[in-house]
Amino acid sequence: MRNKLLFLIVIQNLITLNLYAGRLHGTIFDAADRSTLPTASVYVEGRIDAGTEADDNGKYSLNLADGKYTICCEFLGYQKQTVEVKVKGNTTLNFAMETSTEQLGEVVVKANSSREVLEAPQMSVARLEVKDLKRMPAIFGEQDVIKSLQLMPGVKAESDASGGFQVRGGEASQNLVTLDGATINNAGHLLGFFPAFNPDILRDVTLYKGAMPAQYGGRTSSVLDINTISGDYEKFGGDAAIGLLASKFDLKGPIVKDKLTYYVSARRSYADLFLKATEDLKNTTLYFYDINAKISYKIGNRDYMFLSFFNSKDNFGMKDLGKILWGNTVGTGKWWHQFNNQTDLSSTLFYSRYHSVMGMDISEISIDYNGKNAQLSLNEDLRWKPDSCHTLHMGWQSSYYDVVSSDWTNNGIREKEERYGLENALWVNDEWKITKRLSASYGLRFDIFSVLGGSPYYDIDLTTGDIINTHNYASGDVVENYCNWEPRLSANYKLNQHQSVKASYSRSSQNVHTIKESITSMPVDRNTLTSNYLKPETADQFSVGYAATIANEKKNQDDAYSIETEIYYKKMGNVTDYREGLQNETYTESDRLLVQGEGRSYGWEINIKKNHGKLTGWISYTLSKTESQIDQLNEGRWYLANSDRRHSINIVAMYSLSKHWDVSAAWTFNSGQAFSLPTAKYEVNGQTVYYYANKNNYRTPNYHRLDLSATRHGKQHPHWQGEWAFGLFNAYGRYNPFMINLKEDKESLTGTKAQQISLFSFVPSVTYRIKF
Amino acid sequence: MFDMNTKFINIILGLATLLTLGSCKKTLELDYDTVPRKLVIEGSVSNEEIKVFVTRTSNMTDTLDKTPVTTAQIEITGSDGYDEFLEAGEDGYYYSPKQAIGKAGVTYTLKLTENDTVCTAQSTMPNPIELDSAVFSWLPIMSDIEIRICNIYWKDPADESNYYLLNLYRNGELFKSNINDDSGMTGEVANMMLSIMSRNEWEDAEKKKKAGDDKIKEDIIYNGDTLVFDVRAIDLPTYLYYNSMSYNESSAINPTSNIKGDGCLGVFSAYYSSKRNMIYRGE
Repeated sequence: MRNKLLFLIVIQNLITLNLYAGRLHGTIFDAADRSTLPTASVYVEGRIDAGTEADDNGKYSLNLADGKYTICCEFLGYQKQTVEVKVKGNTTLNFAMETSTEQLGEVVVKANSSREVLEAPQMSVARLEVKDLKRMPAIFGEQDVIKSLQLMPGVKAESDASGGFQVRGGEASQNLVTLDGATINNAGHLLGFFPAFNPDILRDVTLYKGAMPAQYGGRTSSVLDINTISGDYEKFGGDAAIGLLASKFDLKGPIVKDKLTYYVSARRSYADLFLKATEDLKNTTLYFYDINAKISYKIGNRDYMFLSFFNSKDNFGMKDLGKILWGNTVGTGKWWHQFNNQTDLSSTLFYSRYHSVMGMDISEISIDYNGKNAQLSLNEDLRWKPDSCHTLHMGWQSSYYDVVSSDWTNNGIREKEERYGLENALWVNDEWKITKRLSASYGLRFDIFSVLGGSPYYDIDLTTGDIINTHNYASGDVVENYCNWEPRLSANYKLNQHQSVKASYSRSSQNVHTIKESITSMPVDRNTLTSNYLKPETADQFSVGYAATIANEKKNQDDAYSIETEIYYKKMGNVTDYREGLQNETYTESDRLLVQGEGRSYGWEINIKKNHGKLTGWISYTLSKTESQIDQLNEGRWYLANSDRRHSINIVAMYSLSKHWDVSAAWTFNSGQAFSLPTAKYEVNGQTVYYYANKNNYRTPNYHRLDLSATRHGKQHPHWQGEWAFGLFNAYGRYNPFMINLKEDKESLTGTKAQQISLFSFVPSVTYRIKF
Repeated sequence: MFDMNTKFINIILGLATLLTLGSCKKTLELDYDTVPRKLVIEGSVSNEEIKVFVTRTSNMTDTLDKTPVTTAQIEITGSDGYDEFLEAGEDGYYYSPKQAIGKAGVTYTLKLTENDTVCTAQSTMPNPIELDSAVFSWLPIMSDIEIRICNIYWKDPADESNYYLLNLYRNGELFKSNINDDSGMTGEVANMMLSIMSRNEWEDAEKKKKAGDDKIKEDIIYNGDTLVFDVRAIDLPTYLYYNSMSYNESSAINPTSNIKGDGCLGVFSAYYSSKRNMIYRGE
């Protein structure tokens, strides 16, 4: 019996080997600029089990038995290609994709294509094609990736004055934002009024709201993976835009044709130039700028590398009064090497530094508050596709952190807390097509964070926050190690051609903690690292979901409408908040300020989309609740987290009026944000003091807003094309709550009044762009 | 004091106004929770007197009730052997029957009993200080804006960390209050700056007053107003109380009180006070 079984296994393997003797592989690239198209889909027509996605470098590989096939290649914003091919052994087939003007007119922001939604094992993913982003309503005529993502279910804006976003009850600082693989901290201009990332140089944007592949880690809420274009290997080009407050240009072109290309992109606001013309504000500094540059080099068929640089700065100041500035400096080098058609290795080295300065210089008072969050990382990711059913990622990342939580100079006296940490992570992840209907992405990440010496560490009294003992460790000494095993699993079962069900579980951890100044993130928020006192934050998330497409046979549309719905439950460990009575500046020592506990977030999301026709768009709804429990706060009772929003609705509509005109509208509704309202008042030293018996016991009024935009595409000239973009942010002028203050009011009977402060009424904008 | 949160919020509001059609403020009607009223203690042992004032918290929808609670039993003891029960005076304050005063370096303990409520607090009186001078000046901050500032100076006791509370009274009413510590100043002259008012608003208010307008603006110091500067050397727990009190509303936090016991709020402070009076003459 045993021999029979062995025989059967050998025969089966021989058959399998014979079946997959052939391999089809190649590169998918933009026919115009020859930039590669990662995540483009390649599949055998009519065979749902025989398909794959292009990798980060636009390369794909498909195991097929020798024979004739009809191969399809699809990518959002490009015309679908169908090619007849005869596969014999190793066969190369490249796709030069033409942009689809028709499709561009129809699709604006589109999460995964319907095919991906139904078949990809990874759930809770929103992928944004930047080509499709460009007609979203936008403030100041600039399209904003982050604001567009905030129209997806489960993703919300922190406030009107923040570039931060919250995913499924997480904080903005719990999102990992990467630009070409490098971590970016607190990006955003003019307090989030202006987009952090220049949309013209972005290639694709992927947001993992829940289970993320094991390659990603270091944050507990989500991963926002942003990649920029390579440049243009074929011809020189670019565009320029002039807006009311800022202008920009992008240039790209070949240095060595089809080998070496570059792009450089820069933006600067010029409100300060107008201010200089006014007598009152001529000594005011107010500007931001950012620069992106990248050089990409195709070394051969099997090697590719790029060097990229990102620098941004926001600077506001008034002479003889004060200043606030912040910025990012990021340098990244990446080398991709393909060993064979099954195996490749991506090596990424980056340095990312965020810094903020806030100063005041009045009369005899001179104060400077500095902060820094720097990271140097090396990441190795080996991808191996042993057969058409498995795609494995194995790798490690080593990151060195240098975080200044406080560097305060107060009238010449300097206090500083600078801490260091080393984080090493190993992972393995497999994307497995188990059967024709069932697929899964599963993996394990092992994270070890070493708290490093070189700065004092303290034993802290848990109740009072007082320092009991101080420990001084030599630079480089390991103070403590924290290990986290992080399993990741996401599975998809396709019920039929139009429906699938999904389930996922993931665990993640975070060792960079942000000490938020108020309910919205600020550029001057302090950052600190896990220490002997502060433990790593963790999150365990479970999700189940259902996805379906509805065909319109009359119009021959397979996915005229699509529906996605998910339920999630997230359990959070070592949730961090301020100790009672303390705030950002009470102590230099960050550990003294903070207490930790647990949290939970759960919710239901649904999104219904219309995918084709002149009118496209979607309606999404999220019902959710997020709470925290920390022994030292709120008498140990659970309280609503600041990020809690009960209901959230987004309605997005895009309409192609004519060849020249596109219009769009987006309406957003969010339940009010939880905040603490006093329950009593009293007087001490002649001043009114409020007593807060319950934390976050109240909600601000609801937030809702309508944004409109219209784009007029000018005539296509031989070498250039112009475009006018008109926008109206908050079209019906709703005064949404930004903050609520309590004021003494001697005229009222109670002596107290609550005042809501709103930032915006409606904001019109106009921008002229020229593309060459 | 430098309230970073408030300053930053102001910058945001300024930006919003500059960049858009303007920010907006409106009054909200809120439905406040209510809780049982708590005792509020404001106790002091100073180089001038021992004085405790006890009230109760008020609901948010009521007027601030300052009716004194005069039925409490209050005992003050000192690490130097001082021990006395205070007696309620006609003005509702509790005073030392022996008219005792505090001594520098002595740790005082307050014990309050009122029905079932028992609260205790401790505070140590710092070393003496002496207020030296208060200097007013106009500070130009933009081309046509000038701010009246007042720098107050006193001698800072050497070789120790010191913490201060400054109260400026205008015609008997508290006008401004501020705290600081002596980092960088030990053994030299300590200084605190108060921002008073803008020149435009002051000139406008003076004009109206001369024109016979009786309405006194609360945020203006007029020529002829009587000012009292009261600098108090306080201990660290009291400093932390006032520090957190300054963020009470903006950060929605309860001040870190040195009073222990359920049902009691407030602060107990042993402090050394130095005062100066002046009649304001602006120009």
